[in-house]
Amino acid sequence: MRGIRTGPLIPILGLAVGITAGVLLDPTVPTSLQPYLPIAVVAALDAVFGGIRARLDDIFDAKVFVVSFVSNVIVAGLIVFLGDQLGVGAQLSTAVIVVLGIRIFGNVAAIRRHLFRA
Amino acid sequence: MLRRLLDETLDPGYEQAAARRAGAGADAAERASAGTGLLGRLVLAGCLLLIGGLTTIVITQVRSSAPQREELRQALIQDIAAQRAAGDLLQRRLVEVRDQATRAREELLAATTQGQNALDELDRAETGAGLTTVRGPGLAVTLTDAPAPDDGGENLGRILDGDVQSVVNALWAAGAEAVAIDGQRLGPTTSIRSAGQAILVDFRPVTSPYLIEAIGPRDMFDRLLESAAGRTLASYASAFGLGLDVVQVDQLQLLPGAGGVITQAEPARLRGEAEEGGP
Repeated sequence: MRGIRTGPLIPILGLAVGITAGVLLDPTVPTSLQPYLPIAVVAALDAVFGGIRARLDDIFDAKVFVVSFVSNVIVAGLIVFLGDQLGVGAQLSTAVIVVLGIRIFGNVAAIRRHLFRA
Repeated sequence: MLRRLLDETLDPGYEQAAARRAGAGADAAERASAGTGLLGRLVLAGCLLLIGGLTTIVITQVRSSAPQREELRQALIQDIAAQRAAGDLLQRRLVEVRDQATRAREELLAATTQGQNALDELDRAETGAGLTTVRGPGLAVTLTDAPAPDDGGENLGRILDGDVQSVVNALWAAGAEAVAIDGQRLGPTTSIRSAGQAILVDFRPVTSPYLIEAIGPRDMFDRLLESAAGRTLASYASAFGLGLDVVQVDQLQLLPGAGGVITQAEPARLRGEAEEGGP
C-alpha cells in the first residue's frame, strides 16, 4: 500500500499543465454551456478534496476518484440543467453549491486533522 | 439526512474499494490496485488536467465578463450619441426645407387677397404650433437640482417633471408666445415627463440645470412670480434648496421645433370663401 504514496508527480504535473493551458489558450466557452461551468468546477473541487482526504486515509483508489469526478460534474450539470427547464435553476444551483460546499468543508477539515494532528 | 450529509463528507466508494481490497487478499489486491499503477496515474493526471483547465477557464471568463459589459455599455452610449447627432442633422435639414417651402408658399399666396388671408391664418397656426422662429423679449427660467444630501438620503430638492410642467404652464398662462426647454421648442403636443431619473421633453432627455426660455409680454415676469406655480417653486427653493432663477432677457430667439405628426386634417375654409356660402 505504501506504493500509492510514491509518485504524486504525474497528477500534479497534469494539474499544472491544465492551469497553464487554461491561461494560455483562453478558450471561449459556448454561451449555452456557461451557466454549468461554475457548478462543474465546484463539483470537481469536491472530488479533488475527497481524493486528497482518501489518500491521507490510505484508502485512495484512482478508479473511485475518476468515477466520482466524472459523475459529480455530470450530475451537477444535469441538476442545474433540469432546474433551468423547471424554472428553479438559480435555487437548485444554490442547493448544489451548498451541499458540495459542506462536503468540501468536511473533507478539508479531515485533511487538516491529518496534516496538523489537530 | 442532514446528519449524514454533515458526517459523511467522503465518498463511500473509497471505503468500499478499500474493504474489497482488504477482503480479497494479497493477489487480488495487486489487481484491484492496478488503477494506482502508471495507467491509473495517467488517468488521474488527465482528470486533474481537466480540473485545472476548467477552473482557470471559469476564472478568466468571470474576470473578462466585467470589462466586456463596460465595453458594451460604452458602445451603446456611442450609438446613442451618434443617433442623436444624426437626428439633430435631420432636424436642421427639416427646418431648412420647411423654410424653403414657406418662402415659396408666401411668394405664391401674397399675390391675392384670399391668399394673403390664408397666409395670415397659417402664420398664426404655425406660431401656435411652434413651427416658426420667434424673436423678442422674454424670460429665461433656470431650474437646478438641489445638491445631493451628504447622508446619501433621497434628494427632496430634485426637479421633477411636474415642476417643469408647472413652470411651462404658468408661462403660457402669463401670455408666452413661444417656449423652449434646453433649446427644444415646445409645440401643442409636446410631452414633458420623467423616465426614471431623467426628464424627457418629446422623448429627448434634458438634464439639470433646466433652462426654460419664453418669449412674451413684459409683464410676464411679474405674472410668473405671482402665479401659483411660481410661489410653490419659490417655497420649494427655500425649503429644499433647489435652484430657481428667473431673468428678463431683452432679445431671445427660439428656433422652430420638429412639430407633431399630423394625424388629422381637414380642408381649410378661408374667411373669403365662408361668406360665399360654405361647403
